[in-house]
Formats: sequence, C-alpha cells, structure tokens
Amino acid sequence: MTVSGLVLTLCLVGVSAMTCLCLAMKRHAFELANTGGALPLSGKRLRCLGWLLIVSMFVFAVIFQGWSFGLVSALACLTLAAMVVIMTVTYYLPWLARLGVVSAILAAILLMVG
Amino acid sequence: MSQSPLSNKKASASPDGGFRQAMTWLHTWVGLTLGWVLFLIFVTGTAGYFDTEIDRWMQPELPFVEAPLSALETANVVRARLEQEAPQAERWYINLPAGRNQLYPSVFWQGASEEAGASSARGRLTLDSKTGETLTPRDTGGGQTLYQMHWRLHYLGRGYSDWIIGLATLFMMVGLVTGIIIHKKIFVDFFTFRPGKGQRSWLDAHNFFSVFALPFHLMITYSGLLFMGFSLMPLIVASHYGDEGRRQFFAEVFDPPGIVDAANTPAPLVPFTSVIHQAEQRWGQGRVQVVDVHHPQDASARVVLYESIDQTVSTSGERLVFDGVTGDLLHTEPTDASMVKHVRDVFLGLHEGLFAGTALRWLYFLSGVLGTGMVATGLILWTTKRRKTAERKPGRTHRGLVLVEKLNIGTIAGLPAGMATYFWANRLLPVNMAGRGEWEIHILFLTWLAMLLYAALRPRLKAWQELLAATGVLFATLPVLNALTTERHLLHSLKSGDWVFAGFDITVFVIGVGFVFAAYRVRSSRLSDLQKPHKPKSTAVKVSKLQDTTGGAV
Repeated sequence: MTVSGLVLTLCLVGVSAMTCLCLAMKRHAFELANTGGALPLSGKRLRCLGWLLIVSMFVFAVIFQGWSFGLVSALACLTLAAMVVIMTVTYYLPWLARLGVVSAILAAILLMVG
Repeated sequence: MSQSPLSNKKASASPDGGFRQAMTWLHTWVGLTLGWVLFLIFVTGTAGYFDTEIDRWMQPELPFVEAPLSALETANVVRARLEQEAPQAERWYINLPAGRNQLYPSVFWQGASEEAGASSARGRLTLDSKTGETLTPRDTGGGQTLYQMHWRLHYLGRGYSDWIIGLATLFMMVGLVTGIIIHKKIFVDFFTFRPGKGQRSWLDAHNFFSVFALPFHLMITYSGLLFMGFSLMPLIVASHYGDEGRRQFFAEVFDPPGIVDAANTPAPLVPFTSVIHQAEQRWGQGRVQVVDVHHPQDASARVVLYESIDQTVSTSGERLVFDGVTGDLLHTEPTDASMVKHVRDVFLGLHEGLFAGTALRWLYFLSGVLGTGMVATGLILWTTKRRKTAERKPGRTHRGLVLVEKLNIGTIAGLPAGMATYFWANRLLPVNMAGRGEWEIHILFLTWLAMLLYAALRPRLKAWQELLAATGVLFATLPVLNALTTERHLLHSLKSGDWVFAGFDITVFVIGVGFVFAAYRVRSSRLSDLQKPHKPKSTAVKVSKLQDTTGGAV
C-alpha cells in the first residue's frame, strides 16, 4: 500500500471512529433524535466501537510504517477526522451516521484492494 | 478534568477553586502578551512546511525536474566544477538531489585560494546536474526567508530574536498547560461547535483549534523549546566548557569524528566512485544526501557522506567518514551515537517534518493552520468579552481594548496580506533589480505596516471587513498574476503534471476564497448589528451565564 493510500485509509477509519464516539454522547444522540434519526447501537456500544476503531487505526499505522512514522501519521489523521466530524455535526447532522458507515466501508475496500 | 491537589485548599470555599481562577488569569495574559509574535511564528512556520515548494514557485526559471541522475554521476559533475571554481579550499559541501528537499545539486565552499584560481574564497551555487553549469534563477527570498522568519524574525540579530522566540515559546507552553487545566469540559464539549452565538462561538472555535490538534501543539511547542535550549540555558554548556568553549562543545556534539587539520601537503583527492558505492551498498540507491569534503586535495583530506533522512523521523541519519586520499572507511557514526542527542534529533525532526511525504506534509500544514487559528481566536476572544462589557457601560471604551482590537485586525488580516504581496513582489519587481530578494521581504513588512495603520484609522468592523477582503483578493488573484508573468500557468502545470506549481496556485486561491468568505461574514454581522442598534437585554444575562459555565475562562 502506498503512503497516500495508507493515510487515506487511516483518515477514513478515523472519521468512522470519531463518528461513533460523537454519537455515543448523549448530547449529540439527542440532537440526532430531534432530526428524526435513529441509532442502531446504544451509547456504550458505540463508544466501545469508536475506541476499537481508534486502536485498530494505530495498529495499522504502526504495522505499515513502524513506530515513529506510524504514530505521527495516525495522530495527524485523527486530527483531520475529528475536524470532518465536527463540521458534519454542526452543519449536516442528519448525514453523520451515513458518513460514519460509508467511510468504514471505503476503508475496508481500500484495505482489501491495497 | 479532575481537580489538581493544589486546588483542594480552596475547593471547599468556592466551587471553582482559586487554582483554576489563577490559571485562567495566567492563560489570558500570557496568551495576550506575545500573542501577535506567536501568530507570526505560526503563520510563517506553517508556510515553512512547504518552503521548497514556495522556493520553486518563486523561481519559475528553474526547469521542471525530471528523474535525477545517479548520485555518483551528479557528484562527479559537481566535483569537476568545484575543481575549477574552488581549488585548495578548506571545505566543499555538496548537496545532492535526493528527495523533496533538494531538487538541483548545490554546493557551498569556504577557504578557497584565489591565487590558485578560485572565483572567490567562499561561495554557494546551484548547478545543473547534467552539465554542471550554474543555474541563475531570479534573486528571491523564496520559501526559505519565510521559514527563517519563523525563528529569526528577519530584521533582528540572533542576540535579540533568540530571546524573543524563546520567551514566546515558553509563553506558548504555559498557555497550553493552563489552557488544558481551565478547559473544564474538554470531553463533554469535544464535538460541540455553536455558530452564530458571539463569544460562545469564539470560545468553541478556540477550543476546537486547540483540542483537536493538541498532540501537535504540545509536540511543536516542546520541540521548539529544545531548539532554543542552547540559547535559553547557555550556562549548562558554559559550566563544562567555560565561557569560550561554546565552539568546542558544538564541534564535539555535531561534527563527525576523525576530522583533522590540514597537513598542507598536496595530495590528489580520491575518486568518488568507491566511496559512494560503499555508501549506497549500505543505505540503498540514491540515498546519499551530502558529500562533505574537508581539505580537498590535501594529505589529510576527509570525505564525509551523509545518509538521506527520508526513512527516519530524526533530523540526522548515519554518517560515514572516509580517508580522502586512500578512500578507506575510517568511522561509521550511527544516528544514535548519544542517546541525549538522539532524543533531541527526534524532537527536532518531528518539529521540522522533513521526513514527511506529500500526504503527511499536508497534515502537518493543516495542523499548522489549526495552531494559527488557535492563536487568532485566542486573541479575538480577549477582545469580544471586554467589548461586550464596554458596550454595556456608558462612557469611553478602554484604550487598551481599542489597542488590542486594532493590533488584532492589523496582524490577523495584515500579516497574511503581507505574505501575499511578498508573492506579488516576486513576480512584479524587475528581474535584474539590485537587492531584489531583500526588497520582496521589505514589501511584506511595509504591507503589514500599512495594514496596521489602516486598521488604526478605520472603524473596527469596517476595518476587519475591508482588510480581510483585500487579503483574500491578493491571494486569490495570484494564479492570474502567475499566468500573466510566466509560461507556467495553472492549465500548463496540470497538463504537464507539475504538482508543485499547480498545488501552489490552487492553495493560494483557496486561501484567498477563505479570506473573502470571512470578510463576507463580517459584513453580514455588521449589517445585522446596524439593523438592531439596541442589543436585547438578554445579552447581559447570557454573558454572565457564560462566565459561570466557563469559570470565566475567557
């Protein structure tokens, strides 16, 4: 897998993870419910899933790039992912859950292809 | 956030705790005092992540680089040139094209003998890797000057700038630590941004910029302090090496081992063939970054090869020291010869990000933008709170508040405008003008100064709107200027796959659009303010509520 491919995958996993963590919070789950959205998972499970994705992101990064490069890439991608999620929460809330699912699927495809 | 033990004493008396109050005070004033310097550091440092790319845009005469020749061929071409240009020199320092940071071979020499036919005792040239001819692009400050401003502030000598930068970095560190302490809802508010709510929104934005890139901010500030270590703590070196021993200390720490004084007996310099071959066997093809020859053509010549640092986060790779006459390998200096130096090199490497490829470099740039946003929103927050209070009280607005507001406008909108005119100057100043590179940077500072004056003379919101718009237009029209003054316009770059030129044009355009959008937002809020000159009473209640929830963190 090329470096750019890896960074893209990491960002996608990061977006997925951050979406889970965001929707695991009562405030944002409530906001989503107000717009008519429903969550398939409870808060606790979402939180676990989110953290699991973050851990897996770091594991991928370290496997592909080694400790030093991997940690830098993973942290940087997590920052970008968090930005994408906060923008979506603020301005496109109904799209958030879909964003999380789609980026997870894309990341899986990239991993299988690369 | 859990309560720190220090705050327990007062915690029972007031729910907020005196500790957090004190930290809030510290955060506010430490952030304000050198805030504008920090803004400059962040802006120029962020641009510095693309210093080489900016260099290339600012020297459009230099050819688009094709695949470079092998290290040996290039080194031999450069060597032939140096033998004519700088005979009997003390040192030849040859930077080979390897990776992003070096596209054309460049050489530096010192101590050459003009009697033996040297063009000058010391010099620096950029060469064509095939012919060895000098490339003479236009004189420019380039990305390097922007990046140097990041830590040298340009007009000041190192004696002053080191201390100002060092102090600013310390303040930044204090700002980060106190910021983490006073941010009560670091997790609860993690994904929260409430736009269109005045001060509340500014605080959300400030938190957003700070918290999301917190690992970057901590790393960049801490490593920044390490950069300044020799300046901030000179006595540690002095205590072991004496007052005069600084030079000796640096030589021991940074120079490769086995360098000796010239023997002053002429001897032919070993051909580079076997030397470079040995190094490439060890490091891989194309991974020799520097050929550093001490006392070429002398009996005690040494050839030092530096490994490219594209496979490590650290600022230093391995170095091989060869005998310059026999070609024997004398020393192999590993990266981590000293643990302390290795830790320092890794932090410095993380700071500079020289190891980062394209994708990671963009993420570094993004983190830098977030840092810039953090400083800018912090400076604006200081004023929004006081502006609210001032508007509720009749009478004159406090002079300090007005001063900070004007400086904010003149710097947050004015410094980027200065950078845009720096690029404009690069294209518009006559190519053969004397002192051209210096004038580019003078124009940057003159523009900034003009922006500060303009901000001082205009009403606050109008000044924001007009300066942001001006900055936006200056940036967004750069691709047009480039198309009019060079052959390498955006379409040409895209067609020929020249991503550096295309990337620059697109990036400055996006930055420009961003500034224009900001100007538009200021305009909307200014017009809506005009429509309802009397603020609703609830504002005061809201502000006091806000202070309750943030612990007066603003």
